[in-house]
Amino acid sequence: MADVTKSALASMDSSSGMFAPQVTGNLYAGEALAVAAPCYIKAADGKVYMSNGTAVNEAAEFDGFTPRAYSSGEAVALFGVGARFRYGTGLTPGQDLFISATAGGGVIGDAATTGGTVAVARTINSTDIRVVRNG
Amino acid sequence: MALKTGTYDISSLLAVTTSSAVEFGTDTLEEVLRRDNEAHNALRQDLLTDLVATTTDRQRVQGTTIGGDMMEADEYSRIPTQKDAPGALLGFPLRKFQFAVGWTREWEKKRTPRDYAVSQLASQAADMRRTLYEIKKAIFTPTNYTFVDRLVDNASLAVKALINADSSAIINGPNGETFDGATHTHYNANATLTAAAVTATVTDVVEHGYGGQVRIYINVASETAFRALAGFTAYLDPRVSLNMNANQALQRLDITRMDNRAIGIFESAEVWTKPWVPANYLFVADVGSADKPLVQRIEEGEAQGLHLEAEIETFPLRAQYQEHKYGFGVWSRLNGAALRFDNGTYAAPTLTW
Repeated sequence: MADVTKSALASMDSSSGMFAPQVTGNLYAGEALAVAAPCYIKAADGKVYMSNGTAVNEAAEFDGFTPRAYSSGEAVALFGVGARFRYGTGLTPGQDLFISATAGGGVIGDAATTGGTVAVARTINSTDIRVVRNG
Repeated sequence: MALKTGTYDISSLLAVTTSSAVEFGTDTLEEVLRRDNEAHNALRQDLLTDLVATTTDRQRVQGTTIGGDMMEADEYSRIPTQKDAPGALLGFPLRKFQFAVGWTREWEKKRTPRDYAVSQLASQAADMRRTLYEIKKAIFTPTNYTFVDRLVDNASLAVKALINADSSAIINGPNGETFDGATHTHYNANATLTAAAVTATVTDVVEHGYGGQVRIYINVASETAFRALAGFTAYLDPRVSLNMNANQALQRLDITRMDNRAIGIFESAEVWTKPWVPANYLFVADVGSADKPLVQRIEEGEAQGLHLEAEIETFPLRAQYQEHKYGFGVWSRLNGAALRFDNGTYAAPTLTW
């Protein structure tokens, strides 16, 4: 299983983003969130954290991708199915992407993990991915 | 060039040193950028002048010679009637190209005219790169194809390459020369760059009556090898004095742009380096002829050139779509010839934009 290296220029596409379902409104970052990171909303505090597929637990849940980087405490919007992102380079089109088990969370990889068994995104060309799950 | 998907937000703003675009006046800004697009479109059109004529035609009939022979007869003879094949239809494609930019409402309130201009320049640069790619594809692809005119009425148009041994009827040469359409091709190949191969490619054009202002376009990477060919006379650097005891070209070398300039003469054809010619290929055409090798088809009645076609706003996101509709097809199949000189078999080059 290999993590997909995220470009420093990762960014959401407006054309698809304006029609993708989003979760927002009094939704705050519980930690610093990276751009284009898969995230979940924690039950204990209702805040947003980056998903991690190390184990079958709450941290492996998924509620959407971040459209930008956030500092802890900032209001957050998460984007779901259909949102397209510039993500990396040299990607293989048509590849399912899963929540990775890498420490720190917010990373996607090319194979299922213990907690991340259902794909959250799919590559559509050598640079871009599209979100394929709402949660 | 790799796609650069993304949305402008606060983190994308350049350093704010002047007023925001809102203070500057959005209407003023859009008027300035509209005029800037007009200037870009004029510059692009200027680049096309040598090789491309612009038309709204979807297809044209390619002319051919009324052939046949005078047959000797005697007092009893009544010779058979003769008939020649009519010219073939040449179709021209029409494609739609878009460049989109998206941003958040907060970015829009904070952006400066410079921020706006950066996205405008990006769309113009992309338009120029795509234009050159489409021209290269039209010139160097040796095969005919059927184009379905999906932006109009789904009619099938026969788009042709330069003459390529497809059994098309070929008009006689200026001195009555005849050509066999089944074997005559203007896509040549040679394992190396040789004077003979270049001469043959130039002859391909000249023997059809196109000889007024013949040019050979090469990639700058081929310049050194081309200069070494027998029959090449170089234009001299203006910083070097002419030799009074030798025959040298009067025209001087342009030293301001190494990859886009005339470098000399090869057997009466002027040799130019051009950034759009693929490595190990060259193209020959008579740029002075009214029969241009290519046409650029545009759509009648549509907004011409690169222009803002649409905007979508779904708060907090907004996107603008710049659009340019055009297509390049070969028109004068005889006023153009290509040579590949790294392989004995011609194949289309790998093209990128």
